[in-house]
Amino acid sequence: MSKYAIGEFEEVVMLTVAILYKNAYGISIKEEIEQRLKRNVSVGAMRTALVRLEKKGFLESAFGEASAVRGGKRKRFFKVTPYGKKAIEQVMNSRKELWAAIPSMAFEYRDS
Amino acid sequence: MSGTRLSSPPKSFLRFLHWFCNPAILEDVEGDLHELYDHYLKTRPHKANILFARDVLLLFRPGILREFKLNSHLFGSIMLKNNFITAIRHAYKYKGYTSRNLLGLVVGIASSMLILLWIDDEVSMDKFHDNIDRIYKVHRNVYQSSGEVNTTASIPQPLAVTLVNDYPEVDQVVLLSWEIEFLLSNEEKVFYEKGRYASDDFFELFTFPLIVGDPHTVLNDPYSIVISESLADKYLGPSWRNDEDLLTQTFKIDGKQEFVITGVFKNSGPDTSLKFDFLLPAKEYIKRNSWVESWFNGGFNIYLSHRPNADIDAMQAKVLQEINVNTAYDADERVYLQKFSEAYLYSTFENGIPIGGRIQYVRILLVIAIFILVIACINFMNLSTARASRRAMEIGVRKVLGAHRASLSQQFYVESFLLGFGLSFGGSGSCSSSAAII
Repeated sequence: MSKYAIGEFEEVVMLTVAILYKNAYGISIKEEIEQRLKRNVSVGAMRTALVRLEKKGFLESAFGEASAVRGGKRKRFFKVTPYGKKAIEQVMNSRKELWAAIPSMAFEYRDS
Repeated sequence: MSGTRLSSPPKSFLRFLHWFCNPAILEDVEGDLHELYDHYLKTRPHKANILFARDVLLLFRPGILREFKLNSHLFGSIMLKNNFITAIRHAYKYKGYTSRNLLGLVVGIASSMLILLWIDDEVSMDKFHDNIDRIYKVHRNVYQSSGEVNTTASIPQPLAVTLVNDYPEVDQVVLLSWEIEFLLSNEEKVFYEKGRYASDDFFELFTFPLIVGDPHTVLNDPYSIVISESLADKYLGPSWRNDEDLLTQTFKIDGKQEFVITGVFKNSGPDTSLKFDFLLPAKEYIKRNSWVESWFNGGFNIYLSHRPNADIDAMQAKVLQEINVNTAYDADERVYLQKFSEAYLYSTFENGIPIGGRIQYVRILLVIAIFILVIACINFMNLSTARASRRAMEIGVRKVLGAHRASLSQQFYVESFLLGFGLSFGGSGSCSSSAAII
């Protein structure tokens, strides 16, 4: 965990970027998260997460073609780097380990 | 016109975004916002601009902000030291100018500060009572046949009894007389002193802390007296604090009746409109003067506190005709409740409602204070700009030597700052010394 410092929202963003594969840019990521997780995402929060993830090296980005829809501005597409993949894998594995370590008794509520 | 306005996001917010956004991500972010804006236009066209503005404002956060560099000319440069030296030299060289300039502002600031201090004094009057928000002063509006309305705070004493018995929303009721001068004697010491008659709950309703005595009971006995700290010092000497027999000491009022001390209250500060050096129980007065107990006479001021959450408007409506009902409408006298916190500043009544009083002086003087300050500032500016011609040569030389515009303005800022620094000392000094004299 300590090697890959990653927050819950950052993890969501990275997974979404991976889901969208070649179509991961600002708005599509925002909409995907909103649709799948039924939670509101502000442009500000998402953008900060993207900037931070890129700075950490978990994501990389490249400009796409300009289009008229966006006021003539190019889209910046994001991609998960191999290093980023390791990071989310590690998060998942650590969760799995924790789940596996829970004794089955812990969730039996009938007689407690 | 409206078509173009609808189709493009608000310019001002875009400009704001351009100003604060990190240029590395600006293009992308702006594109996103455009796309979102188009989406808003389709789904919620009326709110599109507001939603866009919200998006921009939410982007204003670390991580997206560009780096802001402080102006290196203004901070920490070696010129700063030079500026201080020039400012001080300049002040010494033109002593007359400097002192006149300073004096004008010092007098202006000191006098407006004095006025503001006085205003603060006036406004905080009586506000120290713990339940000041629940205390009301009772007024009596006497409607004359001529149509005139006279307002008085002298209230028939039976109203207090009625308020206690018939009004569940009323918490405490206190009768208080005017300040009366008595001949107060304790053994050989005889002085004229000012005191008041007050009923039992006085020390519970008002917050006058007692050094000796129980606030609930000090005025219960008809022949008790509660004196102030300073009065105790005057009559009993400073040793009264350690005197075990303090509560057996007696005072003779007007050479007749003896009263036993039951309490000593702390000297009240200047922020109370209720002034008195000692208190006597109101029942003793009523006992001797049965005329007060009539609904047709006014004998005391009445203060009351209502219970928390009581409906004060309903209470006001209920109490309005209370005197008339009990005097069979002999004269049209209606009861009016005024918040005690406002009683000091709004004491002038017209047609039965408070229209002003000392608050008018407070307002007038506040305006005067602001004017004095503004005039002093204008005067300061005038004098400074009048010097411009004399400084022109100096500025010219500095420019020739390569001074930037920023470093020149810095020089004058430092000068004004130093002047202001001396000024604040002079201003507060003269203000406090004149306040001490007053």
